[in-house]
Formats: sequence, structure tokens, C-alpha cells
Amino acid sequence: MDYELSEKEKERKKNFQEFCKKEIVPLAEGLAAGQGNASELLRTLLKKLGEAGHLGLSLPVEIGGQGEGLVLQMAFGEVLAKESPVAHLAAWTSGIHCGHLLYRFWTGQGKKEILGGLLSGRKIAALARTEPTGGTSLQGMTTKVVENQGGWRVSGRKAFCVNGPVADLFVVFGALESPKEPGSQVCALLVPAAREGLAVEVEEEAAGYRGLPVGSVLFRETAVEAGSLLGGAGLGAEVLQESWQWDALGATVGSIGLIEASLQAAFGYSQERQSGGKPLGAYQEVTFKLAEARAMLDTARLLGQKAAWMKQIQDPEADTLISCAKLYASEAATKCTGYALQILGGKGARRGCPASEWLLAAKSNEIAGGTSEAHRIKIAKRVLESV
Amino acid sequence: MVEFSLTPEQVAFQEAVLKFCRKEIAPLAEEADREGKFCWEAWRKMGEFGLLGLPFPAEYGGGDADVLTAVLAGEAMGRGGAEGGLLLSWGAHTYLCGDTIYKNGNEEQKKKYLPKIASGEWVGAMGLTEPDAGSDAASIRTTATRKGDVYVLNGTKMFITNGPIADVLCVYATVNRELKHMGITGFIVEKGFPGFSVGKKLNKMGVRASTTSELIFEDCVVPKENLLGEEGKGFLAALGTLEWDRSALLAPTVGGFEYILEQCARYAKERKQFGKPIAEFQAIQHKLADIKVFIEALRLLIYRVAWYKDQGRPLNHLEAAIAKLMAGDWGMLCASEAVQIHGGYGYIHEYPVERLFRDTKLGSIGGGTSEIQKTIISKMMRMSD
Repeated sequence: MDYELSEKEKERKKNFQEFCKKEIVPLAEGLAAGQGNASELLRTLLKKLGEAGHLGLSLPVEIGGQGEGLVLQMAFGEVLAKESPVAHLAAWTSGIHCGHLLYRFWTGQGKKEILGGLLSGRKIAALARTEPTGGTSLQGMTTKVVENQGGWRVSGRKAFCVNGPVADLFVVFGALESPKEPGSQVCALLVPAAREGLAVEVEEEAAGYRGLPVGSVLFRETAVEAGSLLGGAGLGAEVLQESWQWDALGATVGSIGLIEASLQAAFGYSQERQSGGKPLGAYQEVTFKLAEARAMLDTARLLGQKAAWMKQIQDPEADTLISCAKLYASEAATKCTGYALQILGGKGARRGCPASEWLLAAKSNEIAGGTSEAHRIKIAKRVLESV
Repeated sequence: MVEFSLTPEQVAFQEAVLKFCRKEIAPLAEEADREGKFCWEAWRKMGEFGLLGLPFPAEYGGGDADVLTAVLAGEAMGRGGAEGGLLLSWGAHTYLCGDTIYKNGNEEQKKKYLPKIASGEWVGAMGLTEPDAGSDAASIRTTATRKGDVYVLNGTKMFITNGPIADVLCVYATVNRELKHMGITGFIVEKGFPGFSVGKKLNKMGVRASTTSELIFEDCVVPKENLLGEEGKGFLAALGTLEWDRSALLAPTVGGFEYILEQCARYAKERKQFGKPIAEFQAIQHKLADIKVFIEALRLLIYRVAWYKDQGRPLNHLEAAIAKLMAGDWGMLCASEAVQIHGGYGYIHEYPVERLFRDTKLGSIGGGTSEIQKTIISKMMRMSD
């Protein structure tokens, strides 16, 4: 048992924090303000994160990663999310979520090149999983995958694709039209963005994530090679579960970052702002909110670390812990960012002001990466099975 | 590097305690709660098993266990279905009294008291809270006046766990009220000391098998050999002790909720309404999930304090206050949901969930209220800023 990062890990985390403040924040601000070309800004941002080692932190050195543990990956994610929720979501989706999926399941040609591109930030990946007609329940996925001259043909529409409008690659989930075994319809494929029959439409910005490119993707009989099927035939459900886990872990660290950012802002303001001849921090109604937020921050972080550690050691209960962490962290973040906004008062409650954005982003995290409801049902199922 | 594994020995110890508790202790729980009586049978068995002297070295009859082991034991006893009051008595005896003597006492005191505490022959207690000084512990009024070879204590202590049955007590009094917390001094008081008496047993809402009372000191004569540590050092000793209250002694709460969650899940599968088990309703599933998240979170918060204590960090106010705050306030919400799952049956004494509900309320009061924990957390935040 050990409840602290090693000295070396602490040092790396601190350096990464300084790097994010200096190198990432200005780019993320540019994105949010709509300055210049969004695609170029995001590419520059991801390349920098690739150079800083974040994107491949928890993947092996042989394929361009850093070979560190998932707990440190979570710590880096938290640091980045605190400085920029947008940069976190873009980076997590492309390098970490898609990176890990492809590392584990890609059996086709050019694995090293594909991963090398993602982990260095030179290439951007997006996830095409949710559909306009179904997110939480993917039983009735309408995107069809059909065998076609030794390869596959994909047809359907996907929504809410983070990085979609700027992506080079898509990890697409669909349903096999004629699965080899009953019940194994779900499958995942890697589809290059440049393929014929693939069109991306830019969607409205996601609440709380100003500047994040989000799109819907239309596949019209888009053809890919046989080896594009992740994990080969029959492993689709496993890829899907893995994908949910990375989504949930990303939302967990994203939420922790939001709690930290909002707590820091509210705490600072409570020391400065005067009311009735005293600083706000002299009133219990303010300090108790801060104390609760601090308690929630520690709790969310511990749950996230434990979930990541269990995933790393392939503990059979990891999936449940990931749900616990995601559910708790995202709901705690909504509470804490709400407290922060209350403490910041008129200074925080303005359109476009960071505190308002944090609250929206936190709420989004209760929805993305599996809704709170879906995670509760999953946890309860496990509880009921265990007696 | 962050990792959460337990050693095979720790796992085996926890399983042994769980098995022991299910077989020997849990069957005694319901009656102890109903009658509000201390369960000597369970106590003797816990002594024989070695649970009453866990933290002391073997030379004092103890189990040489670290803090994490104490946590694992507490969790296992809760999970095994032990009544909450018995576990509170265990904590007050072994940690608030025994460990305080072990950490602050001299060799003679340790030799004299610890073996009897470890075996359970003597019951220990701690006396800090007063009728007019609870959260504000530095303002206690019980006085200690040095007269030759003795100290004379005068005052009253309130809400003392194990008070009516204690043989030995760690009592805090002030040698000089003007010095505030710097005047607070610890003493080891035996029940036979002249001028010491115990008020009537208090009839509590929950944790009913632990007996609770006032302690009365009327010119109580304490030999100077029973000074605990040095004059004026009592407040620090008490703070160290309270950290137990805010950490390892919360472990039975984790176990208690594990026990109740199992009961909730079983009940939800058996109970049928509208033609199907209520476990199939989303509203019930959500409650089960919320309790599960609480258990996982609280366990981590408590193990963290234990780990830091075992690393030799003497005071862990922030981490301990967070664990205590969560156990109390969040625990009460979960206890309420657990009752709700049971519906009408949850409201009657027949089901252990009703007992858990009453027991859990103490979590936001005893050992420092939730409000005090928030005050500590915000103070620590300012200090580390």
C-alpha cells in the first residue's frame, strides 16, 4: 500500500503543470476565443502535449510511450484538465483513449506508425460511438458494418464526436450485419478520415468546452480493409467495454481538474473579497463550502487512483470501481463548481467567465462517458450479483 | 508509487476477524442493542481473540499491530455484524485509553495498565468532553491542583463512553485555566480513587451496547505517579488520541455499511411488488449504487489516514477530518437510503438496518462534530496556502 506518488512522479507532475500553464493555456485560450484556424491550433496543442509525454505516458516505450503507470496518467490528466478542460478532452480522446484501444486491439498493418502518430500528437483520433438515436444503450446501434470483398463497408451516422472535425482517424463502433456468433454484433473499426464516403459536419459547441471541435460523422458505404476490425471478429464487446472505461476515466480526471480549478479560484477570492468589514473567508457559510469541496476533491482523487490502479493490475472489480469513480467525481464536480460560483458571486456568474464554464463542463461530465444513471445501474447490478 | 494492495497476511487476518465476528459476536448484537446493555460475553471473546490490545507490543500483552491492521479489524467486525456500540467500546478502550497510555505513559504505567487492558480484564475510557466543553475542548473546566504527592481533581465529564464500567480512565484537566490549552494535563484515574464517581447511565439513541455516563470528580485524589506525560502536555496527547476517533475508529462504519448493503441487496431481490422483485426498479438500484460508492470512498479515506500514521506522520488533521466528515454526513444519507430500501420493515427493530440508522447519527457528532471537521479542514487549507 502506498498513498503517495514517488518523488520522481511528483517532480514530473509539477513540471507538467508548469508546462501546461506556459505552453497549453495560451493555445486553449486561442481556441476558446475562436482565434485563427481551430484545426491548426489543436494540432499545435496536441503536438506539444505529445512532446511533453502526456499522450503516451502509460503506453510502452517500444511503441513511443513512456511506460508509466495509469495512476500517473490520471495525475497528468488532472493537471491538464485543471488548466484547460478543452485540451484535456481533446488529448484524452485522441492519445489516451484511442491510443490505448489501438494498442490493445489493433492487429492490422502499421501499428507502430499509427500509434507513433497519435502519441506524438502529429495525428488526431476521434471516437465515433454515440449515435443521434442512442448513446447510453448501444444495443440498437444503427451503424451497420457489412463484409465487402474481403474488407468492410460502414454505413450510418455518429454524433457528438470529440475532435471529429479535425480528426485524421476515427475509431468507429457499429453492428455487424451478419455476426459469426449470435450476440456478437458490436464491432469497432479504424477508419481514416480521408476515406471516400465519410463526411464530418461541425456541431454546436459542447456546453463548458468552448473551442473544442465536435462533429457528427456520416458514413456512406465507407470501405475499409479487413484488418481494420479492432481485435478481429467477435471481440467487439470487449473493445466497447474498454472504450467505456477510458471514457469514464477521462471524465473522472476531467472532473477532478474542475474541482481543483474552481476550489482554487473560490479560495483565493475568499481571502481577498471583503464583506461586512471582514474577508469572505471569515464566514462559515463560505469556509464550510470550501471545506466540503476540499473533502470531495480528495475523495474523487482517491477513487480515481484506485480505479486506475485496479485497471492496471487487471482486477476483476476494476470496472465497478471505474464506475464509482466516474459517478462520484462528476457529481462532486457539479456541486463544487456550483459552490465556487456562489462564492465568486457576481464575479463568477457571467457568460464566458471561467467559473460559469466550469459549472457547465462539470455538468457535461455527468452525461458524457456514461451518464450518472447508467453508472448507477451498472454498480447496482454488481452489488446484486455479489449476494 | 500509489498502490492499494494488502499483504496476504493482512488479508488473512481480516478474514479471520470476519469469521470470528460472524460466529461469536454478531448473534449477540440484537439483544445488546435492545436492552442497551454492555455485552460482557462478546467482550471476553474479543479479549481472547486479541482484539482489545491490538496496538501494544507483545511485552504488554498486545498484538503489536500497526494502524492499518486496527483498521482492518474494525472493518471486519463491522462487516461481521457486530453491534455498533460494542465497537465504540472497543475503540474507546483500546485506542482512546490504551493507546494513549502506550504513547504518553511512562514504563511503570504501561506495565501496570496495558496488560489488563489488552486482556479485557480492565475496561478503559477517556474523559475529555464536559457539559460545557465539547467541540471547544480547550475550554475545559475540570481542574487539577497539585498538593504534595497528589493532584486533586474537581469537575464533571460528560458523554463518556465506557464510563459506567471503566476501571481505568485517561482524564484531562487543567492545571491553570488562564493558560487555556497549554494548561491541559492528562491523568490516569482508576475507578477506586477517592472522590471519583460515575453518574447514571445515559439512555442513547444508538450504539446502545456501549454504556455512557457522566464522570464526577469531587476532590478526587490522584497520585502524582498517575500524571500522564507532563503538565500542560495533555492537549497534544488528546489531539493525537482524537485522530484515532477520526480515522481508524471509523473503520467499523465501512464494515457496518458493507454488512447493511448485503442485507439491502438480499432484501431487494426477495421483496416483490407489482409482480417483480424491487431490485428490478431503477430507483432501488440507484440507492444500492450510492451506498456502494460511499463504502468504496470511505474505505480509501480511512486507509489513507492509517497509512500516513504507519509512515510515522504523527498528526494528520486534514486527512482525518475529511474521513470523519464523510463518515458522518454522507453516511447518514446512505443510512437513510438503506432504511428506505427496506420500506416499513426498515422502520422496525427487527431489521439491523434500523439499528445502523440510529448508530450512524453518532458519526456526525461524536469525536468532533461535522462542523468542527469543516472548521479543521478550512484551517488546514489556509495553513497550506
